[in-house]
Amino acid sequence: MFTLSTPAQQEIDSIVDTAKADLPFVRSIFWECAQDWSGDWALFFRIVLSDAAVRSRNRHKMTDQVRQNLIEKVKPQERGFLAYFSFRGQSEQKALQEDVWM
Amino acid sequence: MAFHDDLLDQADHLARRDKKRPKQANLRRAVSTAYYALFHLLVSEAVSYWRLERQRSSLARSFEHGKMKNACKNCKARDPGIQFVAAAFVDLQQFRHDADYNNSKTWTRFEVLTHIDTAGDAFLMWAIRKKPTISQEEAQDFLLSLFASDRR
Repeated sequence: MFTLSTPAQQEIDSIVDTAKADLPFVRSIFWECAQDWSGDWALFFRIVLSDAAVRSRNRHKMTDQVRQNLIEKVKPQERGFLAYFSFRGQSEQKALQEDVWM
Repeated sequence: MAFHDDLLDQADHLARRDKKRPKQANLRRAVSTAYYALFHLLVSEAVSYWRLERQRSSLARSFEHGKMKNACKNCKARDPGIQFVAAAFVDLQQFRHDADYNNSKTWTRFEVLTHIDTAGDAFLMWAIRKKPTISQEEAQDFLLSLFASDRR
C-alpha cells in the first residue's frame, strides 16, 4: 500500500491553497491519492473554474496554467505518483453537487 | 483524412452535439474516442515503418493498452514534444477507462472538452515532431517502446 505521510499531505494541501490564491479563475481544488485503472498510484486533482473561465476563449491556456502550476510545485513524479487533472465549471459543479469535487 | 484525424473530429462532434443538456452517453463516447484517436495515431505511425504494407494491420493488432501505458509512463525521450505525447496518452487512457467503465461518474461538457484539448495538443506535438530539427531517432525509439519488450 502506497500512501502519503501526514506531512506530505499537509505540504500538498498548502501548495494547493497557494495555487488557488495565485490563480484567480480557480474556485476550488480537490485532490486525493488513489490507484488508477491499472493499479498505479496517482494524485487525482479535481479543479473547479469560474464560469467566466469556462466561457473564455482562453480555456485551454487556463487549464494548462493550472496543470503546470500544480505539477511544478507538487512534483508528483518525484514522489512516485502519476497525476491526473479534471476540470469543471462552477455552474456545472453547482448543478451536480458532487462530493468528490468539494 | 486519416482514421485517427476522423476520430478526433468525432470526439469534438460528440462533445458539442447536444446544445442544451449533453447526454452522458455522448460525453462518455467523446472521451473514449479522444483516447482512441491518439491510440490509432501512434499505432499507425509505428507500423508505417514496417516496409511490407499488407502486414501493417496485423502488426497494429499486437499493440496492447497496458504495455503502451507503461512505455509512456517510463518515456525517456529528451524531446519535450514526445514527452508531452507520452503524458497525454497516460492521461487519456485513464479517463477513457472511467468513461467506458465507471458508471458512477458524471461527466460535464467542459471536462470532456479539456480532454479533447489534450488529445488535440498531442496531435499537434506529434506533427511538430516531424520537423527535421527534432530527433527522428528518439521518436522511433518511442514508437518501438510502445510494443516491444524493454528486456535486454
